[in-house]
Amino acid sequence: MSAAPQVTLESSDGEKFKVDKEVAERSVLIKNMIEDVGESDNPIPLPNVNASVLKKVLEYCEHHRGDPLPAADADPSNDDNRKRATEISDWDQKFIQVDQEMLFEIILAANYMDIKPLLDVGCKTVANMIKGKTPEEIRKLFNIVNDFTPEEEAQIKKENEWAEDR
Amino acid sequence: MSKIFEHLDQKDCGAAAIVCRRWSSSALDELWRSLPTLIPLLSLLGPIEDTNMGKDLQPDVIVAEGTWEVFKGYAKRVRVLAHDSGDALISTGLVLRIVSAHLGQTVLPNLREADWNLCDDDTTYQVAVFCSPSLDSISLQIANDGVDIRMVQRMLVSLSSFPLPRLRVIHITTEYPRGTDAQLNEALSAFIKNRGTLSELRLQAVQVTPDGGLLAAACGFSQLRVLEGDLVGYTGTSFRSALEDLASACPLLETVSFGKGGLNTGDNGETLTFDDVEPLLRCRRLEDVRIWGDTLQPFEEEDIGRIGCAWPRLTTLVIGSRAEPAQDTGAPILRLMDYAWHLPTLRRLACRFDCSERIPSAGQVIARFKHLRILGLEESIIPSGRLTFVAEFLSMVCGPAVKFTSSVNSWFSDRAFEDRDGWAEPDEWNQVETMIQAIHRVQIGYSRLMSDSAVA
Repeated sequence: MSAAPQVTLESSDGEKFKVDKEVAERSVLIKNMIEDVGESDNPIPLPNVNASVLKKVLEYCEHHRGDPLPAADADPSNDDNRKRATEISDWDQKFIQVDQEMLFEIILAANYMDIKPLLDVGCKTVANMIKGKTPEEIRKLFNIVNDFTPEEEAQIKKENEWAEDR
Repeated sequence: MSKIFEHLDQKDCGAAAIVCRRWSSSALDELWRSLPTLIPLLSLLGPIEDTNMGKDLQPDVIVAEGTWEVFKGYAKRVRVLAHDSGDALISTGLVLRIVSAHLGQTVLPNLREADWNLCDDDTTYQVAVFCSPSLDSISLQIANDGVDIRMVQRMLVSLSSFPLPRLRVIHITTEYPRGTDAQLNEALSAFIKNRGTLSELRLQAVQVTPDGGLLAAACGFSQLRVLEGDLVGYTGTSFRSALEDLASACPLLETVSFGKGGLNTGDNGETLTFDDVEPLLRCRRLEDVRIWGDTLQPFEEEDIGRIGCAWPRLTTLVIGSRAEPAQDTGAPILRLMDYAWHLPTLRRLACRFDCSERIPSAGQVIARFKHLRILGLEESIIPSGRLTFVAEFLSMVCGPAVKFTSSVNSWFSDRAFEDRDGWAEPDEWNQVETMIQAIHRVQIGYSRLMSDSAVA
């Protein structure tokens, strides 16, 4: 039996990762690169993703290697439902239990590498952290400085007070 | 950040918008993306109060130039709007103020979906005010009382000259008495004509007449995927001929919902036969087919076989009759086996069945649905003393996952498969359902017992 075809990915800090092509192709970016350039022994550079993040992203891709790929022409109304649903599977929840810095790095990497399901998991996790909190609690959670003047803050609040009842 | 805010509801987006400048713009984009009513936008202009003419600004409010800029800034964010004029009627005075502040401009320049519930004559012209060339989908629900049909005609004619180059979906529902809609057909034809991008034309409960040119206009859209309407006043020949034209012009149709009926209530009515719908067999992509007549001539086994060959993707089938069950008893219940045999992909089926005919016993059942989830039994009547026979038969033809409903008179929407109020004898059907569940429990228990004994 012949071994599964593999590709090599190179992180921004020069570390190389040899993975099954099927796993790497969970990333639409890599899939397109392989299709455009053709199969080669040269490593595929990922200048926006460092080794520790890439390792984590590949762990996700390995676990989900057999999952159906999201359709590019999916029904927009279903897409809307997908966005509003904030449930995350048990494995994904455990996977994404990382510190805040790593969480945002994973989201940025998933966005750059075009891995929609991983991007969803990351964004839903952050959304779940925000849910039900006041602006002050959110600032505290993410260590954000309020750069609005009190007048500006009051103005935005007034213009959007209808949302408080939603 | 916008990808994160997509997962928040409007209340949380409101909180996120105040966190910091970096978050604010994306959070506001998400918050204002979909408006449940126009009121939040109008409230930006000043305090809104209820008047005899509808919601309006307090009389002493002067809207400053800067306030209009704020209004326009938020209006740009709106992609989806649902407005129910029954809940929030907007005064003509306020709408005119908005129009005069937007001369040569679109009020909601990025609106993609508009869903209007019209309950008053004045609201008919407001649709055009808030319409946008960026619209992808427009939905109008027109109430019977309160909206003069001539105002609706005017609205449609005025919208017909409105450029909507991206429009993909038109969804119109009316509640006028049967026959009245004929007056709307010409205006509707004018509105839909030349909408080259149209793929869904849902004229739910709108009566489509032969001389209004509406169906002919629909034939202009070769990429049409969805077509719904209630065809009235067609004879057997003109109905078939209209569907022949449609099948030739729109081969990509995936969903069709059609009624066939007399022009007015009290007419003798039109009987729907298999020959009427036979032209549609050429549309090989059909997945969801709902057809009904004032009365129905039940489809024969051969007809069902032809449907099975023609529509391999069919998942939903409704074959309905408007007639009282006493007049139109439905297809013999054993025909259900033909549906199970010839239409293996079906997930939802609704049809009236005659339970007084011969009911095969469990051992005589030769076909069972594989994927069916809902069986709409319409107003099927069970003669007294036949409950157990019906339950035995249905438990064999339908799997344990099948839910039974009555699905009467709401064939257009998915409500068709949720309704359980249409049965003349709901108690009988409830008893049948209980018996079916019991039979399935016994079957499962027995299979387990047999497999345990085999292992032992």
